[in-house]
Amino acid sequence: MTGIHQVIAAASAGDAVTNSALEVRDLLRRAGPSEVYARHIAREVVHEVRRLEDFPTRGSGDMIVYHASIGEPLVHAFLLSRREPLVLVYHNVTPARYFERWDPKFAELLDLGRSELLDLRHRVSVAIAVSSFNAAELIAMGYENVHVVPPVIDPYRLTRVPPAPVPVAEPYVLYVGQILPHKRPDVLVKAMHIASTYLGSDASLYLVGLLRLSSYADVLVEMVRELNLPNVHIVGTVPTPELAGYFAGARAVVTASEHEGFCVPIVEGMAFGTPIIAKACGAIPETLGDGGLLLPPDAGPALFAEVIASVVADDTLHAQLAARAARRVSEFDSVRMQASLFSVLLEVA
Amino acid sequence: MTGSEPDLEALLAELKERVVRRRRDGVYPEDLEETLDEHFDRLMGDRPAPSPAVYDEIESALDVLENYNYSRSRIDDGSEVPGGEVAHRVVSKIVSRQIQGVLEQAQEHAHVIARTVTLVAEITSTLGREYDTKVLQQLDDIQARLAEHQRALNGLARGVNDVKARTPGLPVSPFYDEAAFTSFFRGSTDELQARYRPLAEMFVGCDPVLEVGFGRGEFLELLRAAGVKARGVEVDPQLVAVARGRGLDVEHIEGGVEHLARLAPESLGGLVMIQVIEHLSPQHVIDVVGLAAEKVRKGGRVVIETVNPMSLNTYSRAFWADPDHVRPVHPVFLDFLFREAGFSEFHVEWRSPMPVDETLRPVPGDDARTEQMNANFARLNELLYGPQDYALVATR
Repeated sequence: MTGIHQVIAAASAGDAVTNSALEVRDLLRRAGPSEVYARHIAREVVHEVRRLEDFPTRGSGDMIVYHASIGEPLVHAFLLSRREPLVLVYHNVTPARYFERWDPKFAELLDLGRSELLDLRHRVSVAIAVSSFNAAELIAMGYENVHVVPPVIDPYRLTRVPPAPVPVAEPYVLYVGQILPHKRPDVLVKAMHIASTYLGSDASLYLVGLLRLSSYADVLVEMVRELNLPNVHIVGTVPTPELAGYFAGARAVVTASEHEGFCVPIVEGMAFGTPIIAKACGAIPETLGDGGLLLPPDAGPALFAEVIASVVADDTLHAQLAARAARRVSEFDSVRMQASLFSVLLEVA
Repeated sequence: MTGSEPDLEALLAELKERVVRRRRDGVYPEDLEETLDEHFDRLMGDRPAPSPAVYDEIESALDVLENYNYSRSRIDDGSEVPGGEVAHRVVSKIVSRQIQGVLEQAQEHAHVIARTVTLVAEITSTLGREYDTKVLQQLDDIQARLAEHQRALNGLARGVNDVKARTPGLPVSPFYDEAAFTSFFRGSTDELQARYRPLAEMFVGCDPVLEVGFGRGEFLELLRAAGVKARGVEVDPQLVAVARGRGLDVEHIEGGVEHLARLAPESLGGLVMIQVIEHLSPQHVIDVVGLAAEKVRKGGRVVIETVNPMSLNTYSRAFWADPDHVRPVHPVFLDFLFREAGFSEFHVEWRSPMPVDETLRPVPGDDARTEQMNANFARLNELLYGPQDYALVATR
């Protein structure tokens, strides 16, 4: 191999796709030159990611690994113009319907992402899905050579970061992820209203993650204010040591997300031995396994409130769930994940 | 899914059951989740949209502008000058390149205009949206602040009620019937009327008489029987209703002293308060006498009857049986008040003597020792078993 380069549409700090591409790059560099190229690059990662325009014009038997998560016409045109064997890593494209009322342009890009995937079908040598859930989608689109390979992540990465002190009121439950409609942070806010008003729970909720869609975040903030919930905190993004701090002190990690291609924060939470509360949607059941409490897809705020209040107040339950989380995360063997990725890439090379 | 172990499933089932139970037992308000969803939807959706008609018009005008095609074929090459048409055609052929250039510039110009109008429309709608959001935000802020004030007021009201409940001298709100209390502690209506008839007769010729705190209304009935025009005021609405049912001229008031203060000077011929002033604060006792002097006309009569604190038996056994009593009013002090208020004649009448068989009896015999002992008994009787009530009877 003379070099394997990766392409992503947009690179930003804390983004699961970017993180995964960088992990793979570090891995590939052991075998030869490897870079990550992106069309849009956030300031924090400019020194890590190269501009797509700077992609070497001539490749000699190189391979391109493309991480798909959203539509981007220029990236699509670029991929179609290249001759190298193409490996697709599918992180899933969020259904556009979640964004139609908030950001129609973004919704269009998501739709575009799916139609571009259809176009790339015949160009792709091997498709890698990070979960069976994603694989099923690719197969439904007509992809044939589909492998399920969990994303190359280091589950314990954050546990090795010295946690910074964070201004929290204990006990608290933690949501980590972008504040976006399909992740349903509103369900958690409603649940906290029920837990504190009707169940007498003293738990707080911290929502940590990028407020990517300001109009949506505004509504969420407004709801917290109107419901008068001083125990709900929309924190936004935080530096890595603080993120480790939030994880380290959390009584539980909770998400009501309705669509996930993998859901890294669950794995990160399990690495801290923290009980996980999530909903059986998208790839979450396969990522969580029996490592936490999996609520049915139709679970509403009342059930979430009940579960949060119980896990926070019940030490025995908390200990049981913590043990399950720690056991489950140990199954994410990064060496094995790397090996399976290599074997798929070798197939192409 | 790797499959949950049975205990997780059981736990989940139990938690779901708890939700169902709470809903059934009314721990949650009805439709709690739906209400929360509606609230969120309202926050998302209820932003007033800009008037769509204007935008539709702009849209179609832009469409026309954008797609307008400048065409040489629409340039008239006709002429009114004979042979002019040929000349025109020749000229237009010669300048055809230039005409094309002009048309292209015009086309470009149209695009610039279209683009500019689009930008203006976008700016307008953005401004409009932000303005809407701002106004709604302010309204929401006001609403939130009002809710906070409401909560503060509720808290304050609770505090005031608490202070009222703890403060001696403020009226009690008992669970029992006031009439039951009176008949238990003060005897039947017949007994009372027998005791008070002489007092009522003192008011003959003193129309109109006001009774403050008429209770069961016995005294008003005695006044009516004596042919005296009388009116009663009372703070207990139930007592007012009962008295009104008996055909008495009565009124419900918030406070006797305040009511007296509002009356016109010298508008009363008589004022009577029976077993009332021991329910008042010292300041109100003083005010009552001052107001009596102001509101009762010259020659009018005032009678104030209360418990006699100089009788130790009454003071210890009867006075504190009523939880609404503030403090006894000493006859000497009341006498002093009437003197200072300028009443022309006033005196204390001792009332309700103790039944003889409840006092210390004299020992029979007439030797010096027995006489001495009986004299001591008499003094003790005066101290311990003095009259239970007294009335201050005054003429203005």
